[in-house]
Amino acid sequence: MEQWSYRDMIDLYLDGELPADHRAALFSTLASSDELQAEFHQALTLRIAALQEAQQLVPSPAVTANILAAAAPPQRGVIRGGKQLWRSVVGRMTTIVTTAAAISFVAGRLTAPTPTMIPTNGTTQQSSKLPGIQQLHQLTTIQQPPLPTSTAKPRPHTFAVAPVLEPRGVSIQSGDTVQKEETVKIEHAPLAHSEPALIPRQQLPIEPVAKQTATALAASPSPRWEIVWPDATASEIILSVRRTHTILLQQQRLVQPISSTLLANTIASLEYRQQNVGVFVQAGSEQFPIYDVTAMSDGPPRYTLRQQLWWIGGGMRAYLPLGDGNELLRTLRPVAGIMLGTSAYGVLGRGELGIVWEPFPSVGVQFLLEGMVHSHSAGTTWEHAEKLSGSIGLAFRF
Amino acid sequence: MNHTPSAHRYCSGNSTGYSMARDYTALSDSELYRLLSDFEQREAAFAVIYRRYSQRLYAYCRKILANTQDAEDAFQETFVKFLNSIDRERTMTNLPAYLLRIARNTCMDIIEQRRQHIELVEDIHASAIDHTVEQNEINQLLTMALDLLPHAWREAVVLQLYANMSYGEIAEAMNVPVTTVRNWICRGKQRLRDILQPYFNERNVESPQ
Repeated sequence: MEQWSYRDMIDLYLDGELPADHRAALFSTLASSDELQAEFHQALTLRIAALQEAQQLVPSPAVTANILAAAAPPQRGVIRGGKQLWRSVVGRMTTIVTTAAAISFVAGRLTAPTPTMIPTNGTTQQSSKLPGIQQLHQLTTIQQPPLPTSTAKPRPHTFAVAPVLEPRGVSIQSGDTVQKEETVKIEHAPLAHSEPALIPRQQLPIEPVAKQTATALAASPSPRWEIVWPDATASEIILSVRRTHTILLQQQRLVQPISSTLLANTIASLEYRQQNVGVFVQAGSEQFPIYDVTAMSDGPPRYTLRQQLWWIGGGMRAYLPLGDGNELLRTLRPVAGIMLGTSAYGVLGRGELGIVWEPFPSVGVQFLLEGMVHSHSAGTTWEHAEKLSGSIGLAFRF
Repeated sequence: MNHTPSAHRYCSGNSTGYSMARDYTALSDSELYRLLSDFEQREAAFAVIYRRYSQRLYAYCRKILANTQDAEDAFQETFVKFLNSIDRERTMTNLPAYLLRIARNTCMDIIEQRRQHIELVEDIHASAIDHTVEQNEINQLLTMALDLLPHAWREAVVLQLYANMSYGEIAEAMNVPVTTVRNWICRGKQRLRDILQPYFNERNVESPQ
């Protein structure tokens, strides 16, 4: 039997914690002690006061409503007003696609390279001037004899501008313009000795040029101009930035929607691509549920929801070769990639599958479907979360 | 006890909410906790848990923090943390103790923040003064006397007096032996009576009149 003072017994009795075998001793002493009766009365007074106050201590209806709302399942598919539209999947994707298309168009126009001018007539002259547009017009309107049949396909974006047809005794320099009236008057060289205005590069007949024309060319070389676009098979450095949108998000503890910020779900990538294979490093900031676990000495571990995940990693991508179809298909390159990375909380793996649209020599648009698995230590166990997202981004090639 | 419309919707026998399909109030704490992992039933199960334990948790927060705004923040954060910590693999054996541990950690964080922001002390005193104006005399004095107790004693006494928890529940919540809790509560209550002795003496003088 434990030994308690009568003061202790009073509190234990009022709290319902005094064993029955102690009650008789307490009651007999209470009956004979005025001091203990006063103590009992004081203890009872305090207890009643506390109980009365406790009944008045209730949370406000607003707090209750907030808490109950936190347990309610998130409403989906309800779109009200502009802000809600932006928050919806359709609204965001539409905005992102439109913006990316506009940016890529403008950037493509601004960054389109000046074609490299390569004289193809055997001279070493370096010039950046094209023949005048009037001359090109003149060349293209000349009646040409039928060309020998060739099975070779013309190479895309590659054509040659034939030397300007010169009248006998007249030399036309590159960049000169010829007035239409003058053109009518001049006497052209025999057609049999002329070259077609636009012919495949591989078929450029250098030899059958008339002697007088060759003489004129030698005296005043008028180079054949070839527009050469960047070689798609060469090595490139690709810097890309893309924005992702969450499609699916899974975490075992997650019971409420997680928030997103302006910078969330943005990924930057630096890639070295050689022909159809690229290696890359990339870093991202993503809306992602991570439960940071803090061991507590006096209770269960404390789980703190981290809603923003910064990560960095490296991996490789494989591109399908450019096709020989029409112009649009040639600019679309299916791509697949994998990546391993790390964050402040654990490790992650990513996989991606999509299409890169490269309509401009140095700018492309990425459309990717990306999956990510992140694992992190949660005390003595490991937890993981998965995310599937769609992304769209701009890629700049150098 | 709190009876907001939202909380009551799942607990009453009327035809609203989930009560048509299932009487959640008849379920045990562990059964309700298990339902929290069910997306369809989480809201209803949580409402019943909230109704069962919100009053004692709120009373604890109010008495420990002695500030209505802080208490409401801590109280709200307690349930949000609870929702975030739901683990379908866990078997919940003592839900009130678990909730109270979350509330304790939250209140401790707030108290720690107060210590780091000394300027808040004036606000606390001001709010305490405002608070006491609204209470009757004994509650004013009791609240002030509680503040004079050592923290562990005060916490144990508050849990027993205001949250109406047994010594065993308090011991589990505070992660100390029952004998320690008994000692803290007995010492704490006796200290309260000693502090309030002038008040009781005055009442004894006035009572015969």
